[in-house]
Amino acid sequence: MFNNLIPALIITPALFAILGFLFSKRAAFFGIAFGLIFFSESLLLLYGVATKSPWAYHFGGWQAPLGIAFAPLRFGSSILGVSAFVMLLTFIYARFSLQESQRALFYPLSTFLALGLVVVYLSQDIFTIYVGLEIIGLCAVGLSALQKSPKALHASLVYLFSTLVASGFYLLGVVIIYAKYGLLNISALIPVIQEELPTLVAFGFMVVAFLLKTAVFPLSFWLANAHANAPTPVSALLSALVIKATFYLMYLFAATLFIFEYELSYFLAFLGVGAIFYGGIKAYLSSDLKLLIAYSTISQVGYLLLIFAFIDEHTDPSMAFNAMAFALFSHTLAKSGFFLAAGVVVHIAQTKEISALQGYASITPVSVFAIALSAVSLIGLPPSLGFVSKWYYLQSAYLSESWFFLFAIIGGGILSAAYLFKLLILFLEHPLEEGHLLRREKSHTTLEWTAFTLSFLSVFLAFFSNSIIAFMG
Amino acid sequence: MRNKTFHSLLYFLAFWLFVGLSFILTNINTLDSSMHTKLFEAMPHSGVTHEVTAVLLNFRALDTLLEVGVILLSLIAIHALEPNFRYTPLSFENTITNTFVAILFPLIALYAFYILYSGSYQSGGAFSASALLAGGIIILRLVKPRSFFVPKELILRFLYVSGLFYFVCVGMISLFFGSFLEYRDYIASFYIISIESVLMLSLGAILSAYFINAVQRVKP
Repeated sequence: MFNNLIPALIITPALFAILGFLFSKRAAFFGIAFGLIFFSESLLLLYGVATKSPWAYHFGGWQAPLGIAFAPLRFGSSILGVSAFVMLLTFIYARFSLQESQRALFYPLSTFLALGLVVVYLSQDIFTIYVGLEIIGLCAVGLSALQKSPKALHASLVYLFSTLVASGFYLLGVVIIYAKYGLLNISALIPVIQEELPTLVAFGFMVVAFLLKTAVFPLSFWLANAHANAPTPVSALLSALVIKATFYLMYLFAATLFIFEYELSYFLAFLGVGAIFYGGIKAYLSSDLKLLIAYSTISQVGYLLLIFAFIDEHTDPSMAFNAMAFALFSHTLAKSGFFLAAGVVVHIAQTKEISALQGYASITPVSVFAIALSAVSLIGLPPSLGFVSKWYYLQSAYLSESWFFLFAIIGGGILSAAYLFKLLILFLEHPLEEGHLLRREKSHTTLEWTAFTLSFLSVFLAFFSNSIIAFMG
Repeated sequence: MRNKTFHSLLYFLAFWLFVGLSFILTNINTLDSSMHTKLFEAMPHSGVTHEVTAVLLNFRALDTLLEVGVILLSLIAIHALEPNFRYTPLSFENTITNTFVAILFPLIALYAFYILYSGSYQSGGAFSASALLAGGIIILRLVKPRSFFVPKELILRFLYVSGLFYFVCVGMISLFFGSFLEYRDYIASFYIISIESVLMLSLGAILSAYFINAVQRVKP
């Protein structure tokens, strides 16, 4: 039964994307139905991964070196499950927040995005992963172009070219590896891979591709504008799901294939520290609410990269892995909740200027509460998933005596507290004018509560951190 | 001025990167893998005699299915940008072009079918055939924008999705007998030819729609 789950995860998005595109008036219905089915399928997959011994699915019945193999790993399947949940709630949100012409394109495109995520998180074949990256990249560009403003179009064009360059780099790496070893399957490559110049060049290209697609600090120029100018549900999908896929690949390849020296993976961790401070300072200085959230994404990506400082460490590597996994989950939930709640605030205020949002706690209390909960998780205050992540990072930094990273983690937390508390204090002040209450619509209640669910889970799931760690093994 | 130096520095670096890369790529000593023997062992069961077609539509058919998805989703993404295109219709209608197209388009269509069916024993197949067909449709559209028959939007959309839909359906049927997209021997050649034919028509429609949606917006 669990064996046919993997083709089902491919068939469902493909069929529902087709249906949503064909019957564009009913796109929202097909989209939300897809969200429900996809989420239940990914829960079944999680159950299968937890109870069965690891298995692989061979497409077309051809065994691995010739055919394509998919293998659900524990970490990848759990990210897929969280992504499916975020996707379902975002789909419900989009039903009430987007115009009908936007909905007709949003649902088919984001259903294709789900197909790309399935491929990236489950595939064992480096070329199929390339096709998955292509699907994700093109969907993300199309989604970010849904907003009809010159700024959004410019940002999505920049996004298109950066993601195409990154895909090209990744493909070049795949070509070199295939020319050298004649294999594409990750588990078949592990025993034969050698430390040689062509292999290292191929891996170098792949790392640059992943850094560009994940928007790690010096290569993060495309992210802020693309995420800040897109429609709200799109911003949530882009920063919660899309950049995580390439980060997962970077981690997976580093843990299985890459044979870099310790110094090189250390370099990645330094980039992460750069990202934490660059994103934090830019977020503090920005006067646009969605831009602040986008820069905070750049900063949070830095925490994910810190794992490369501890991946070869003599101390227990599982501690750093836990820290990274919790950082990923907390950011996925908190950031999508943050974007969706900010969307409600922006919709009522009709402006993205932060200074005009004074006193919104009395106008949309639920959204501001959601933003506060997200902030708790992003800063890393207890009890939240973000706190669990920072706790594990601080422990592994302390045990391996890397004081630089210890201070970077603490400093980054203080910096994110600075820009998030600045925002929250403004929300809690006395309102500037009372007329905004009139702009509240009935649909805002649904929007607020979907955002609240995501932000609440980013805090509440911390109480189950032990069972999450036990599941990841 | 500073921009210019920066650019020439970039060109310089890109050139040396190119030189270094080509040096590395020409000096790869391939490791012996069992891939080729496995490929030739499996060829008799693939349903076709040409290796590239066998790899694309049998051994690694999932990649092709996903690529068809990429082409379809790019069309949806172009639809997202569509309201921003405002071009005046182009038209080259006169006796010479009309006669030329009247002879040219049937030939292009015929050649596309030839490329499609020759895919089973030489290089070719659905993707190249659909590119040819799309080229033919675009020429026809450019020359005769007003007399060009345009079906209803819903029918066109059915045509666009038919390739991916048929491919997924074949996959679902094959699930009853084995894995996703598992077909062998004599049934394989039927499936491959039928998938390729449907793909040619639907990809041809999609590829020409890329151009027509983006460049020409004619209201007759």
